[in-house]
Amino acid sequence: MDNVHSQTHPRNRTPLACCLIALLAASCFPHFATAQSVRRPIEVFGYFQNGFEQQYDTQSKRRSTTFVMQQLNLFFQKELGNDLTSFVNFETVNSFSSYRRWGAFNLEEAWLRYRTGRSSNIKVGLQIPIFNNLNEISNRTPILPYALRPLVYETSFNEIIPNEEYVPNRAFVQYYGFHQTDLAKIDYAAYLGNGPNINGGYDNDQTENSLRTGVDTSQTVLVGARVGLRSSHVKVGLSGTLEHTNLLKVVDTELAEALDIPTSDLLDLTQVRLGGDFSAEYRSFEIESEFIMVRIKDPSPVVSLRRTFYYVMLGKWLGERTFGFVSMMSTFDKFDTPIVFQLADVDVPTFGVAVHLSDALTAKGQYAYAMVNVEEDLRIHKERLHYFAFALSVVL
Amino acid sequence: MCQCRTQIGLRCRLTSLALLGVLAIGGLNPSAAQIAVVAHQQVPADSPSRRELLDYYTGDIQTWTNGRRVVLYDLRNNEQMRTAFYDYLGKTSSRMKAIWLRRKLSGEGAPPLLADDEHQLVDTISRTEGSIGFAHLDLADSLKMKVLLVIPDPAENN
Repeated sequence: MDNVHSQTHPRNRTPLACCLIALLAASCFPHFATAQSVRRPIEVFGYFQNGFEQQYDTQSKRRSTTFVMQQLNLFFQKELGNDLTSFVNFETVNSFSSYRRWGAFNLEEAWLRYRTGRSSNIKVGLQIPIFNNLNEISNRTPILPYALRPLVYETSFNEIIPNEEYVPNRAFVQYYGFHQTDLAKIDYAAYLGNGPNINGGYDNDQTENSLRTGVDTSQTVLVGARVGLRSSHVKVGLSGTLEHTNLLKVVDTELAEALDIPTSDLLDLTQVRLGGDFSAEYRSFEIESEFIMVRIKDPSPVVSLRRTFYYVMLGKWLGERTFGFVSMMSTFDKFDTPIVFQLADVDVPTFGVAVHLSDALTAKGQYAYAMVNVEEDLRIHKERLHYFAFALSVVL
Repeated sequence: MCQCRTQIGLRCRLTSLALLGVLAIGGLNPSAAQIAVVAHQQVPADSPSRRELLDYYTGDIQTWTNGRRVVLYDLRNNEQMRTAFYDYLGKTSSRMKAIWLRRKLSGEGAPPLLADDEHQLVDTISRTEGSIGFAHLDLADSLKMKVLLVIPDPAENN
């Protein structure tokens, strides 16, 4: 009965809340009122990437070959006024089929952008925040020459590499833009979002939010920013986020008991993420690189978590339509306590080529050699994989 | 040494005169080969710098100083002219396409609208507020549109 009351009470407040939000929006966005008279059609566009992959494990001599519909994204965009735009992005990965329980279907973005000036914007709603050079566009496969993206950005590997631990995937309010100077543009972005403690429906947190999935169960938010410099041929930037994480989602309470520390020591730990990016073009050459470090500021010196990622790519345009590249990427993931030790180290040298067959079609080919070292409680496991991938990216 | 230079200079001048003669005989106007950046009459810009022009065409800046939306135009079937224009901006045609695709797929802007030919482009620009594009100088009617700048012939710079 209490539950019924607690659920109906907020509903009664909804019309009042809506009125308040509408009034706030009208005062913040003066063009919004006039925008209502402008009727522009909704734009639907997107892209998909199909691929063929072959993997050969040199240890087990096992070969696996597969076709895959790596990713499909559908966008819905509507100009609500001169300065106001709404945007929705649906994404499916790995030959999605709910009937067969394959892949995944995600609502990636649903935001409203207001241009506050000629070079500044505010974006409100579910969005991918600006972090390094690749985060925002990492799932825009037609833009990238890779069939296999830098590891922490490869959405179709999400089941193997925890992308969201490395890069912030969701923000809800972001202010961004650039400031022009004589020499270069100064890019800036600042955002707020949810921390990693999202209720996935599998835990029993006794919090007010535990009734709903997809909501942050902690009392804090993610805070992030990027500052960069950009000229017509060089781009460099530093990014960072600060959030609170709950290690009890990674380990169980037995760890706290074994270490003889209160479980609260594994809750709401401050997690810092630091990133840097550099990209430049010179004549027909391009270089891109990034690093990411994730650390947990440990209140009890018995738990240590370190994650690092870097990649560097050197590419060359071979004519107007063909781009060739060589690249090196690496992730290092270490979780260390007096009783549990886990280490995963992945190094991948790779090279490939992308051919723009037309404005809407890009064919890609790539070879990668993955060196995987996993160490868990004195057991060492090594894998050496040859990986071939061919993909066709299509803009809709 | 000096005599040598004089002889070379004289030869160059004679070559230039011969080239002008060929152009005159062929009925070619040198301005016909020059590319002009044109815009709607009411666009609040007179002579944008190369950097400003690049900002408009890359979508970094999407409004004029009066708040009106910048409407970009490009040519569908004139690769030579497109190449010359984007060369002037310091970009290749393929890099510009990559920039536009990134903007479009991020919801941050749209690529330029495409005109089938220069006649259609200048006609549309004369009628569309906030529009900007490029065409041969002799097609730009200064009574109907603004000529913001004339792109120097790269051959002259060399």
